[in-house]
Amino acid sequence: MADHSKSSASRRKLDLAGGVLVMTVSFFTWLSLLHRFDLSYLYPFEGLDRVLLAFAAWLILKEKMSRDLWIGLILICLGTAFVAGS
Amino acid sequence: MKGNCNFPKPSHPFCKRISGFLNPESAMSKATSNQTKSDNVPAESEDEARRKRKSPFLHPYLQLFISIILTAASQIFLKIGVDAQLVSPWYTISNFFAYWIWLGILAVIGSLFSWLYALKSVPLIIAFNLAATNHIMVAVGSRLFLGEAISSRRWIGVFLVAVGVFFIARPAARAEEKL
Repeated sequence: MADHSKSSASRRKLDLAGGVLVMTVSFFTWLSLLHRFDLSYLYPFEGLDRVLLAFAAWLILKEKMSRDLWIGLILICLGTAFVAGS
Repeated sequence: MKGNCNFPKPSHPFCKRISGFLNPESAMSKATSNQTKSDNVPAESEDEARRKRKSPFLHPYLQLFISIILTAASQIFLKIGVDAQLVSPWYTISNFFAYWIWLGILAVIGSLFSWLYALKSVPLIIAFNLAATNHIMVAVGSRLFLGEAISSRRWIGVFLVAVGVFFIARPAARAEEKL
């Protein structure tokens, strides 16, 4: 019992460290992208993280997609396409 | 017996001093009982007291607004910093003193804390819906402060993304309530 709780605690620390690492990488990637593009061009692409998240939840966690979610995802993709073409 | 000090004898000053640490509940109850004896005011409910102590700055919707503004501001700070201060090899010493970048990072941290504070009392669905305005704020901010030319097509795209995020708010709020 004690062993199990200890291992899950270390697992949690590992997860946290991984999250911090990934966020750091994404921050510096974002900075290098900002260097190249306008902010008003780049920021709408940030909305795509919700699309990725929703599809990951759908595929990996087997969550159900509601109608509102589909509408939102399609609108975000459309908007991003508009921005990309501008 | 836990919480009793018998060293060297119970009346010793050392024992009196640490008795508060050993059994804090009794010490605290003693203190509060003294207090209620001294001033005979009827105890007000805890909720009321909390409301009195709150300054208007801590109003949850104000904090939510601050959080959204800070998120937009952080992006603008970062953009200014990247354009004006960062030099190409990332390890250049001056990069570590790029104050616009640090300001942007501070704004992100501040927005996170005010967001978490606001979520304590604002319903998730409202918070997420208001967060959708972020995309419009960033576009307006980059038009005003960075002087970026935003074509009509880009405006349409920004609004579509904002409306999309608005639609996602309800499923997202439901998902987070489950957690």
